[in-house]
Amino acid sequence: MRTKRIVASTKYLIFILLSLGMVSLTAGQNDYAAERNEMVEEQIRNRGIADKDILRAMKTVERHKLVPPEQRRFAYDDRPLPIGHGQTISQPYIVAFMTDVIDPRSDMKVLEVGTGSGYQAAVLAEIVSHVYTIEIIEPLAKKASDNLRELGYDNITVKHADGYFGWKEHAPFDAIIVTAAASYIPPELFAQLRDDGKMIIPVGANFAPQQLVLVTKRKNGKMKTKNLMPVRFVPFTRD
Amino acid sequence: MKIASRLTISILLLSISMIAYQVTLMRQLSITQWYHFAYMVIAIAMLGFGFSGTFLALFKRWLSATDPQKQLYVISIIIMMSGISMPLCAELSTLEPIRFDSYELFVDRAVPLKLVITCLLLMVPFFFTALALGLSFYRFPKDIGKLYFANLSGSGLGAIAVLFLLSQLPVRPIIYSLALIAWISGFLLLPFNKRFVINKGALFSYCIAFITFTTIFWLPSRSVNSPYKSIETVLQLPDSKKVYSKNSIYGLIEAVRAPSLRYAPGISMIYTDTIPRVEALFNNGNWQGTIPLEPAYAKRALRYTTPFIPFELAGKDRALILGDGTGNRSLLAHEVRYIGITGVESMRPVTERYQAIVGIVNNEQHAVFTRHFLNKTKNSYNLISFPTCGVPGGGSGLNAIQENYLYTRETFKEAAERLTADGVIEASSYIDYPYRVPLRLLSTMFEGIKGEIPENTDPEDYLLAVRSWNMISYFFKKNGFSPQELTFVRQECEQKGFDPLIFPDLTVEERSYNNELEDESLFRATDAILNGRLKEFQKNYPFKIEAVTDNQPYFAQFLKIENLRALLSTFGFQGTGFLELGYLILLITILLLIFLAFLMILLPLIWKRSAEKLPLWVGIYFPAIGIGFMFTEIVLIQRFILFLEDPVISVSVVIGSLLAASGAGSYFSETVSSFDRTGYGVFLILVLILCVYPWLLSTGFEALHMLNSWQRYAVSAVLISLPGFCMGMMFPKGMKQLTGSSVNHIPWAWGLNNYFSVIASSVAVLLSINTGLTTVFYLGAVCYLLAAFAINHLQKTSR
Repeated sequence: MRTKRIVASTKYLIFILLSLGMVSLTAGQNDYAAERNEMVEEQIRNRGIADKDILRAMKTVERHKLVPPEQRRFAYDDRPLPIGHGQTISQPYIVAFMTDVIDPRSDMKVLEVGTGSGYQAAVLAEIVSHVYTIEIIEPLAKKASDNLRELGYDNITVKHADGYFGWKEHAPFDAIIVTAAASYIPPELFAQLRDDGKMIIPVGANFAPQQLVLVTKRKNGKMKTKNLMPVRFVPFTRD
Repeated sequence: MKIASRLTISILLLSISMIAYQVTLMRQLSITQWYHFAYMVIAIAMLGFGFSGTFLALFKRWLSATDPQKQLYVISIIIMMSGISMPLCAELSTLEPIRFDSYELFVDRAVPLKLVITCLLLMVPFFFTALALGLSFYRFPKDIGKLYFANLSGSGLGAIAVLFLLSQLPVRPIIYSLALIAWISGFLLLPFNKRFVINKGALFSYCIAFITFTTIFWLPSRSVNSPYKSIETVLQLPDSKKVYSKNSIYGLIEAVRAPSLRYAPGISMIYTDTIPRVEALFNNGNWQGTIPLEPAYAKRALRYTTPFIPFELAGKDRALILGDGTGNRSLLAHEVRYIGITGVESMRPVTERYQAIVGIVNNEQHAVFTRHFLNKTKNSYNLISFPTCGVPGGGSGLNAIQENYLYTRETFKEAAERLTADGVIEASSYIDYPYRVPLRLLSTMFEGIKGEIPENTDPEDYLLAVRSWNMISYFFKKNGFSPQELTFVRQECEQKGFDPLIFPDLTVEERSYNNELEDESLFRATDAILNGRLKEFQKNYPFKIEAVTDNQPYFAQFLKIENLRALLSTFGFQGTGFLELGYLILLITILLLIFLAFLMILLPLIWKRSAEKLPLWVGIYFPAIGIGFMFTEIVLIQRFILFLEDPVISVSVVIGSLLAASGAGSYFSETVSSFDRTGYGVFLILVLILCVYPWLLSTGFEALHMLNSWQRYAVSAVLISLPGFCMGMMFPKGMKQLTGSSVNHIPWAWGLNNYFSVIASSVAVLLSINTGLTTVFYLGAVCYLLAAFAINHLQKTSR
């Protein structure tokens, strides 16, 4: 009789604990969704980004699943976060801004240089047809590839390579987003840009407010640049 | 051996090791973090000294022994603790979770706390050293002149010796060696019969020493650099490897190669050839420049940068490349076929590395300070090229508090005087936003060369500027540009996707045909500078962009302090942090130090109510001489950079000479019984020297520019020793006064002197930036005047 009571109590206890676990898990998911909504409203929409597709994409992509576990609680903060190997995931607003600048459409093919955490690629993939993304640091490329697959993105292709050479097999691209700061605009990348295509690239050095530069390929093959704003990217690996 | 002699030797050794440890710690923090935190070490050291004074005031009975031998025993244990804590605290500060990362200072809330913990940890060895010194002064006041002499001259010796060590060895073995010297200085102080006796105090010290010093043999050598430092991020590249490493007085010079490492800042977008592969060079882990591994590609690429235009415009006889660095400008001069190329680069290891890879490009190479070369050379040049200002994309104000005599009005004036009749000066800058670096470069250059432009002519006939998507080149031609030359500049702009920025009869559209900017403020400011309306424009511009002078040689200091609040609201705390990092770090350091110093030095004394009977003269005299000393020291270091050709040499010659002379002054002070006529005479001489020095030094430096390096060191030592000798007399004389009247206030005097020295060391830099070096000299003089008045007050009241 006593044993039965102990077994029943134990079962009851396990049930309670499991229920609590489920509740907290659901609550956790809901918390992240709420944080994401708040992030979009306060950090993105309030700063003038009104493109519905971009706002939807930013509300959809689970940023917290693309950052290291120890950074998860800060995932939706208005700042970059370290992702290891001396690299960071960009501040959400910068991702939204860069996406906005290339004016993404559903039929576009976009090249990203500097996959990092995979967050920028995921945001783009919510809007455009296909995203090709290149990462020079192998562990980051592998991690991002795994995470993006787990999140169900089948329109993102990740390659571990030197982004300097672009991705000739899939060129020309409608737009190119470079997320690693460089000291020059790689000629190979420019060559792989479609006429009238846009390339956005941060230019700068370590510990500096790098400049975001928009490069447009004119119909005559020449280019025009426009300095957009100072931004703060991770000091990246080429220079 | 007599007690006083043993103590003197021990203090001499301890002082040598402590100052050398301080400089080594600065190097370590420069390598692992930024040099700004290295600068903070000075303040940390002073904080440790100040805290020791308070500690002594509170626990002097506990630390005092009536028997002098027993007292020596207590001091020896404290000194040994200092030796032990040197490597221990340095190692602990690099371990998680204490280790802080300066990159995360503005983005992670936990980092400021880690920074405070690091400061406190690094303070410990300084605390023990100062406690030993303070206790010695307190318990052996009759010998204070000798002891203070040993302290200061030891510090002077250590400052010079450490330069040699740092040029030969890595940081870690130096720290352990210095710790051993400090420990031995304590051990020697033990009475001989107690040196090898295991007793309660010594046992603890021996055990800890054994554990600490033997740890070095087991601890693996590990990198504790911030992962965000330039060298660490480059080492993340696939197949990257460190190919070169050399300790030098300038820092740890390292080179990294990786198959994917390429560099071509400011290159035209029209360039479709291969971007040249490079070897990246670092100084203390910071980006120093790149050496091309494919010189042929590099030369071709350099033709597609804006500096190519002035290089092509000048006559091809003689080119002078100032701040040659990793040789890119020399390579460009070689590419456009100059007959004679003279390179000037003070960092010899950088030139050696460059020459080892690319070969000898220049006909002449000088490893001297650029200003020194400009002063000394009798040659005229067709082209004088300055190194590119700023960093691609814009700087973060990191160098705001670093004096730079290369980009001053006086340098450009001297350069213009060294030009041939048709000579050209080229100076380029990366474009930042908000625009600061290119504007300041233009206003400084324009101020320097405008004497060469005939009156009633347009500056645009003599000064042109061309802009690429991220670089601007300004070029001045002594006899003006011909129509053919103007056509050439226009063609270059059209072909290479550049835009003219300063050019005769320029339209608004032409200025941004190929490259649009964020806004028009660059154009408005450029026009204001050239049209003499800069002052008016400056009123509404949030940053300082006026010309830099030798008196305020802070090219990279743009922040108008009155605009800080506006900047914070526009860019936020993080954003402002990345714009004006150097200045903000200085401000944060000062605030942190005022707080910590108050907490650790003054508050305990106030709490113990020992301040109640503190005589007024003590409250004025000791703070005043502390501030006066630090103001003079900091401003002398900054001023002598110009004469001694290098900041590192200036630091060591000034500190070494100043401390040695102060030591001699303190020794001499024993012969002066109290504040009599001689004492006042010393005050008068010192104040006069400090008032005359701003003029004397600038005139003297110009007159003595023909001296060689060793003659300069000797002249500098004499010039620095004059005020140093007088300043060295002040502290022991004040102390002697106390031993006669109120010996209990000695710890208070020690504490006050240190508290104000801590703060003055940082405030001096802040004042130099905002008011100029001359004003800081005068303020130093005012402090010593104040000290004289305090003594006068004492003598009047005692009568």
